[in-house]
Amino acid sequence: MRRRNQVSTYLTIVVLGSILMVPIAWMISIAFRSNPDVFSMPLQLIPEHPTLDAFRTVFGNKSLLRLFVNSYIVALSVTAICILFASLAGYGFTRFKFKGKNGALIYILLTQMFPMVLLSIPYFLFITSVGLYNTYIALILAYTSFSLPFSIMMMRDFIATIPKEMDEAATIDGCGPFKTFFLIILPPSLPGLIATGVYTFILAWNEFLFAVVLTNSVNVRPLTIGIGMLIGEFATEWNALMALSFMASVPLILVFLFLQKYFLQGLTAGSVK
Amino acid sequence: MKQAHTNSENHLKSSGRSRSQGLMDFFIKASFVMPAMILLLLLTGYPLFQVIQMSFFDYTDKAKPVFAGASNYEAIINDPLFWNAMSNTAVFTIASVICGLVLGLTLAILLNQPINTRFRAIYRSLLMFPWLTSSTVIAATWILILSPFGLLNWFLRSIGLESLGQTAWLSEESTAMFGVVLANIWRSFPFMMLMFLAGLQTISKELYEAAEIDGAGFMHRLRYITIPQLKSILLTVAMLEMIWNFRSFDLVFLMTGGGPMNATEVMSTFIYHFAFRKLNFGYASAAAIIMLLIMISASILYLRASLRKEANDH
Repeated sequence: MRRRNQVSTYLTIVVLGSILMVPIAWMISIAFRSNPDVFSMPLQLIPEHPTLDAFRTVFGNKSLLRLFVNSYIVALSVTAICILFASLAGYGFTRFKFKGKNGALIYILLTQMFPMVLLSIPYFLFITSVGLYNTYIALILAYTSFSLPFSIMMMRDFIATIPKEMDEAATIDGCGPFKTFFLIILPPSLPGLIATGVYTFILAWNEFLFAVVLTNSVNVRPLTIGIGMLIGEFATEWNALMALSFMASVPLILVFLFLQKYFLQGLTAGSVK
Repeated sequence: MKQAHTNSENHLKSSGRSRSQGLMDFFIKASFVMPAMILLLLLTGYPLFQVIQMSFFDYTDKAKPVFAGASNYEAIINDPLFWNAMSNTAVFTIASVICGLVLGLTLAILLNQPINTRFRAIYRSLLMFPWLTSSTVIAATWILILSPFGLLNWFLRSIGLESLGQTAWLSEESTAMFGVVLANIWRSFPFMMLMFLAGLQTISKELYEAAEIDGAGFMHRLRYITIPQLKSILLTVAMLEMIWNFRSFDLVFLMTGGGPMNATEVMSTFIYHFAFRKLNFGYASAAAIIMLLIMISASILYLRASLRKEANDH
């Protein structure tokens, strides 16, 4: 009975998992065929004439590769800013009592509710008026607005799991709060820093709305917009689009696979008690 | 008398010192939180203030906006397109959250069964992929799958549903929302699965063993152990997903642009169109403020629960 139960569990996971993986398999399957084969009838589930044409198209297009560089610059900058500010704030929120602490926390929770489209209006007007339209700085500032609140909460939840006795011991040894933060709190926070970093990077890498509103040239635009623009084009080269989509997804999947141990620990530190 | 005088003088002095010390203390303690809070206020507080202000102005003449009182709000309340966007947003959010919760919980329960740990780790990672994929990639892939000559129709035709297999899912008014929601559920189930799985792992095995001895079937255990034990995480995740779906923009914008005939126009795309296509910033701002108010009032319960948890934890 128990054995049969187990077999059916494995079977259900495999079947359900396979169905849910179909879109990704389909993306890869399209990426490895020529464009006329995309909609050929009858539909080819596995490309009959597999080819790297689509990848050649992408690699031959200098401006598409530029989009990758832009995405890395913006996402890494946002990640660095968020980790710095969020780890300091996380320490402050868990270790000290001060006036306005609750107010600050309520405000952070509220900002998580701001519709991005609401912020996009004043950002657009501000960024154009100070001449920052179509710059990395514009994107980095805008992305920080929605990544920072979540980063602060994640870091706070993580630092709360570090025993307070550790910093009390440091205080007795004569360490001030800043020294305590850098020497005592930061080292064991590494998993939390990685989790927050990965999460911020994913959010920033995948953002779309602000990039549409605040940029208009390939010199600055991130990858998401590049893919979005290809969707809108009249004669869509679906195979190239899927090849580019595949290439855009690989960095995130690799980051996740390498760091997932920390990531899972950090993401669920606060919400599961 | 003299004694009392010096005493009170001492008292005054010391309280003065402690006040300045208190101020110093506040700055040291708050200095860790301050940079992040100032940045956040500049990036969200001030812009919010601007949007509130703009919502009371008429932008017909872009160079010289004029004060217009509450006329933007009045116009919105009387705009059938606004109410259309509102009800579409509700359908999009509720359908996505309910289906996502069911799918996420099902997968989490399956992966929490006593199975091979490597097998579990592999499937858990694989099933996270949709969450790691950007919305533009998801939109592109699903446009392809849902196209008249796409994979879904191929499947429907091959199981004998010939006429249903001719549907242009994203360009028909009656099916476009279904298509967008389908892609959205696919995007959002992994996060829910992950959170539920983490929650399930904290439930003690003894509870299940005791129930099994008492002869409780699967549905019984689900109803009387799993769901009550997961209650707080279920509510948190449901609330977060509500918020994220309510303000969602990318998938709708990329897959249908709000069409056909506004059938998939949600609040975010509605506001975007007014702000950046029609350049009517006043009207768009007012709509955005209404949207924010709805979101905040709908999540008051969540906010209160978070604050209570806050008070207990720290």
